Amino acid sequence: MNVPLMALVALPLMGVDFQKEVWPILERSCVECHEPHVKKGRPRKPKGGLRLDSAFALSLGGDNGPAVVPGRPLESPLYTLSALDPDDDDIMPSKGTPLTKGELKLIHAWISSGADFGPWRGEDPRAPHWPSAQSPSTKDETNTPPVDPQLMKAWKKAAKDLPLIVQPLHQGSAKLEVQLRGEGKALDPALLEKLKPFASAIVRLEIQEWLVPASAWSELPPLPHLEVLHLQGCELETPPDARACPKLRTLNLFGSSTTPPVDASAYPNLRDFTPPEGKGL
Amino acid sequence: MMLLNTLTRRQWLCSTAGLALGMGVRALESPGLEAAWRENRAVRPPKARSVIFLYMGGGLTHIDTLDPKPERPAVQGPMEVIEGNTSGMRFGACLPKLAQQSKHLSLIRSMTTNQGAHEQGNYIMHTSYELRGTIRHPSMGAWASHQLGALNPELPSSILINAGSSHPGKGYLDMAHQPLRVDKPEDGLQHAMRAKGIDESRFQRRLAMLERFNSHHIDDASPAVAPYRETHASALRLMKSRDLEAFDLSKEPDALREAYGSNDFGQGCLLARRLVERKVRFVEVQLGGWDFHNDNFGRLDEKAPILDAGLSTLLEDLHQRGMLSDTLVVLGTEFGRTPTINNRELGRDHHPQVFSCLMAGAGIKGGHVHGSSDAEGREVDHSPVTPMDFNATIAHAMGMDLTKTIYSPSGRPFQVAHKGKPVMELFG
Repeated sequence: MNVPLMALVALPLMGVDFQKEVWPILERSCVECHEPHVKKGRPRKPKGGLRLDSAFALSLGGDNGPAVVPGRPLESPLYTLSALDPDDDDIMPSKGTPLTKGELKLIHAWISSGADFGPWRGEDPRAPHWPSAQSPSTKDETNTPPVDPQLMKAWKKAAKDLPLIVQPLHQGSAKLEVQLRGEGKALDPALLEKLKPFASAIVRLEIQEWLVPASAWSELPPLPHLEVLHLQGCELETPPDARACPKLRTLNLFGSSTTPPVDASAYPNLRDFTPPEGKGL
Repeated sequence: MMLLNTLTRRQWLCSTAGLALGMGVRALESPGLEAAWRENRAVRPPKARSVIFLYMGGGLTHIDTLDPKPERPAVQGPMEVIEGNTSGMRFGACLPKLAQQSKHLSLIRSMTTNQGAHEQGNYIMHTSYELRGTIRHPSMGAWASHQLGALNPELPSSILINAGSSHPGKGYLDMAHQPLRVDKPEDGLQHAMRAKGIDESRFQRRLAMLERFNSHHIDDASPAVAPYRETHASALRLMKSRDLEAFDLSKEPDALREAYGSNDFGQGCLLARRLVERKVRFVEVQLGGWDFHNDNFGRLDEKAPILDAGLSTLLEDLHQRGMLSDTLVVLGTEFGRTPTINNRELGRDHHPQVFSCLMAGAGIKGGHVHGSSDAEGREVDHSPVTPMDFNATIAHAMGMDLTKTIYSPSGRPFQVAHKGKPVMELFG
């Protein structure tokens, strides 16, 4: 973020009275379009499906999602669109004069402090109804136990020069993926033992281009939540132990050699199996 | 000569700015993540760990490839129609190998854009924003690098193969998100070795000198300094990385190299697979020259087999290796071409009203057609998909946050895919 904008938004967070300080701005500059209105004798919907004439309607947002995210002015179009450059095509209000810097500061401060309407309700008597931050459909069905961040920090320090990459599975995830970066050498079982402190958080494990001795699987801590195991280009003395990873869904052995061959049916939850010779047509 | 070499090396160092700021374990230090750990908050993992984006520059003719209209002979012209290997999916006969992969494909036959000129159309497909004089927006690879970071800290998170100079690249994001360019896939990554005659100790002395110069600027207020230093550091990481061998196509069997096609696009597709194998997030491979204002059918005979072999072999190869389930393959272009065959030259002209693209892999439905054009392929019949929706679909598949606002250096707010809505029907 650039410096001038930071200066603009670095503000006290306390004590904005919506009804006295913010509402007059909205009433003057916004609600002409953002309330149901009559134009040329015909009733018109509020622009963008967004009403700003009541606390309830404002909390619901418009066609493009929320107008205000309490506590997050920079994710609130009510603020960000009003704070655009006056030449920008998207600036609000789209007609008339832009809000002043002082007014923008007020709106920023009001949203930062939690977008409290006080007693004000406007045209609709209902109380504001903020949608929950995360829709339930994106929630994960299985929870892995969290790893202590302190522990992780200490471990990371100790593992600095090891050919290991440990990272969250995706943004905001408590699950981990681990890559053992192959060096074409025999895998030292002691390396796997290093994963012990957070083994229960590991969901994805990639071991590529290593010679994997039979002892590796016995040194590997149980991985109760392991779902994806990639073993491409490895020489495996024995297949991975099915009992150590009961939740395994994906097993990729492309380009690997194993004696004896891997029996996919040994893994009860396996849904995506790539044998050493490939999936075929 | 020496001077020339040095310059090229420097340019290369700059162009490798895309080198990931390597999330690695470092990501665990971010306060937001620690909070997430504490709350044990976990969302569904995204399907697409990597994206291979194949861009057809010049405007892919939709009627002759992915959206044939045999019921209208005047529109269809001489191009025959073939069935895919899943029922009801028809292709132009110039894509026989792709038709055999239809079980993996979701076709989008209702793409529409408001940009009918190459530069503008290309720009909005890559960035979701209209071309303006005052700003340069980031391309999707740069967005992915910015939002998601690198899966492999030793390689750039975004790589651009066979692309012209007009690619928007990192846009207004800092140098760390600049895609790394590869201009000739068979030549691999140039200038990634120490120059001849420079041994390790001399190289280290030079680096130390560079560091002494740099140290004068560490405290500069300019936010550009730190990313440049990081760029150099990541270029040095790459020079020593085992993953450099990803760029060496001679490691592949000759038969496979031939199947991909002995041309820059085919070899680029193969390089893309090798890069995704080593966890590069976003690889774009371009094939230009689809602007058939004259001799549409004659030129298709030359161009279509290149696309057909490259894309089909890529899909097959990814599937074989068990990689298609977490790699999203996308075929994009700036617009379609007119249903009316122009009388002068038997060509087709620009047609932004409706055109076709496709996606495959990473949880995308196979044997599926989304939307349709009208009987003559002139307008969208139903379920229009804009460039913004198209990019929102890619971003969603990768697990990017479509609502997150970032600010350009001039303070303007932007979101990835510019408020496009992901086409959820494509996900199985």
